[in-house]
Amino acid sequence: MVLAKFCPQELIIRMPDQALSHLKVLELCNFVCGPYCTKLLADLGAEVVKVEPPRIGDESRRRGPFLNDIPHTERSGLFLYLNTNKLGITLDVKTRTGQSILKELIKQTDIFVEDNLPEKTAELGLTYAELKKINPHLVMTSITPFGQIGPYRNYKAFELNSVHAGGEGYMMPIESTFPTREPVKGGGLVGDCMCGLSASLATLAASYDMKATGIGQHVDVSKQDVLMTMVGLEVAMFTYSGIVRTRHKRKAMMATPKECQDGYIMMSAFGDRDWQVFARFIGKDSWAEEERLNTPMKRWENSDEIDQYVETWAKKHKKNDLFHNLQANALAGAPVNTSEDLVKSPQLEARGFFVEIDHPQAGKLNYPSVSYSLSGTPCNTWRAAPLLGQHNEFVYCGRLGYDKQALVKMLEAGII
Amino acid sequence: MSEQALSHLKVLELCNFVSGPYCTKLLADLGAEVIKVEPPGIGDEARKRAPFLNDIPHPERSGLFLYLNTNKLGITLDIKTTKGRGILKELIKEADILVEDNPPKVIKALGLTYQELQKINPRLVMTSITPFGQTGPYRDYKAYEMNLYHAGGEGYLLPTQSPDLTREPVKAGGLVGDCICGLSSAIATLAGAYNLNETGVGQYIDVSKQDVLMTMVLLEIAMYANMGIVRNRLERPLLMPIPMECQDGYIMISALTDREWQDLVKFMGNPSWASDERFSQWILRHTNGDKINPHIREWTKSYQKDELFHQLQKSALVAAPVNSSEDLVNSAQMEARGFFAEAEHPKAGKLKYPTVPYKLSKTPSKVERAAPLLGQHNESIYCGRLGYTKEELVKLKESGII
Repeated sequence: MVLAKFCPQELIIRMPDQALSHLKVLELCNFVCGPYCTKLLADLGAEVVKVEPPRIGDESRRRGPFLNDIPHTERSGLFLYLNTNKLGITLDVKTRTGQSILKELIKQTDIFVEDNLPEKTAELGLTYAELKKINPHLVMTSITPFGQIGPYRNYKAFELNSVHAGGEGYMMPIESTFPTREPVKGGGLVGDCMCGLSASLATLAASYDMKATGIGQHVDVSKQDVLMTMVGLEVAMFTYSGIVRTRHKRKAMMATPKECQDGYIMMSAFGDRDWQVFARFIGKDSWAEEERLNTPMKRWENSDEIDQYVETWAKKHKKNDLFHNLQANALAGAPVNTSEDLVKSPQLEARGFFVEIDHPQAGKLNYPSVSYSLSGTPCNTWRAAPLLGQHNEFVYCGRLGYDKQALVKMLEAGII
Repeated sequence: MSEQALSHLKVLELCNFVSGPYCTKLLADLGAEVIKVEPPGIGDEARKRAPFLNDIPHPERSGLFLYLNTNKLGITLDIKTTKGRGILKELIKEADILVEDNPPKVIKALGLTYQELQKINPRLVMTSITPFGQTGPYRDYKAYEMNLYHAGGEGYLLPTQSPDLTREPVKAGGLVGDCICGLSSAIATLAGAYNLNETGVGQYIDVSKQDVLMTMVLLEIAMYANMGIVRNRLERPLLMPIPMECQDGYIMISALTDREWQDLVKFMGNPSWASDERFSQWILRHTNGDKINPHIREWTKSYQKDELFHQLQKSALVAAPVNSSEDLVNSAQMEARGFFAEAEHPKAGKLKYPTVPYKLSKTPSKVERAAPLLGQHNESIYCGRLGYTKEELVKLKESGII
């Protein structure tokens, strides 16, 4: 476990020495997608101010898993993970006063990320056309289920719906023993994370351009489109040839993980060199020489026989023994890891993937950090997710110049 | 490409298959100049992968390659030769970004480590994308998308809601795992480039594909790290966790809040089963999901999926049909967004390509160029940029270096 470099909460405003230290971001988002987009920027050093509705806060505060299974808005694992390194304020943007305060904040920001349906954004007077009048540098990113244009632009969809709308679910589960069963989707909230990732990339590209030209722009992200760009070759096949592929079982060599004594291993032997080494590895030296198996096509034709043998063979081994032995033979393979395997992995330990961060309500917890390490500007300063309204005074008084009495009044009126 | 967000960025790609090429495709589609370096004669592994146009295998007609390499320039170079490495270094001197995906020991053997390259170009942002990253005991291990997906913990819980709880785990379809890695790498690379613009100093970015997959909200990992609980994929009695069957396919409906549930009940015409006390609160509906789902399943069967989708949306309910590729290509929404664009390619002809999932108001992305033919831009890069003569180019070609 790598201990993060702790900084007193109120002292770090901009994280020094990070890649995006000079970027100021304002987030008006809920749940996973938008918050993940700005988390990626915050973890790279940008100053992200998260705006939440007073008292209620982000929807993800009410989602499990909760620490020790006790539901509490400051102890949701989902919220805590998605909002590291951000500043948090509350503001009711449905009120006139709220809208005008938000605009004051927008004047001071480089990037504004929001996830309201287009009709809602128009109703709140927060369209890009309006906002660029008060801040021509502004990069505004809108993340919605179907984008800002087209007949579905005001349709609602959560991750579960978007993944199936994007065509990702239609092929799943592949290799199903029940080809007539309903489609499923990838686990967790991976669909929303991909949308956040894509939105983050486009936002960063627009900011790069803004620094070069001084002029901002509107970035319109459609979640359905994001899911379709993830090499859905089935989509390409239809556009090329009019073929609709289904999720029925197809003939393939070692397409799914094989059972071991203590779990599963996913092995691959693509190409002739890997096949020959693999055949010897599993004690079938003759297969390495046999002409009937000497091309990928021939192996594909005989995959039932190969898979049957490999299945019986794998059951005599442990998944990690196989993993390391495969790798020693320069063969591709990896165990199907459970969360326990990952948390205890020597590889992740060596990379310092988990960081410990302290939080006033949730205490010290281990968090996954980032998947990249930057040599010149490492992501090594970690701040826990903000408590609801934690940085109200800092932002409203410190940045916008409100005095403390005004803050109390806004609090009493329910605006913050 | 003028007027695009990343028009001033020069990228050199030394990558194979999906992750690295997808990373630089994202930059190219945003306007960066990407030069793709491929081994002479063979080219990128993706050229050998289906689907091929009209099912006729050909290295210039692979759907995978054509998609992953739009808007790039393509050159050939054998970097295993000393001469080839010398030329590569000339190209690196002129680049802002180098993206590569070789095992660390190969990069070291080739003398192409960041330590070496920063000496010839201190502004260089170099991104290495490898299965397990540049550090740790697994750094030189091999793994493809299907291995890593399971190594990253994504597969362990799949398929959720399986009727066969003892079956082997599966992974999400296509090459989505590799695409996520390409996306993450693009963000880190762009952050490095942003910082380069401000400071004038480059840096090295080490991306671990296993780490990428773990950062995708796998709350199961957080649960074990902090509470010692290992979740498995056993069936749980949730409310509508999977799509429901219609007359012509499936629909995925969600009713997460009390208000949405009440609206859905009203939409269904207030059936008597719905007034059950056990379904009155969110938490009760989830623990009794298995008692509600059969009713919903019965009800959706009388609808067509798109008909129900539009009606539910009109009632501000959350739903989407399970779309097949045909549904998507023919979708009115996709048409309105101009999501598919045609590009002309010398060997593959005019094809429809998915474009980018974001629209930038000032600097829109466009498909300017189809994927390069193997070595298509050799002359313009080697002669035009590096000043080699045509005779030298012929010699390099004859000796197999390009």
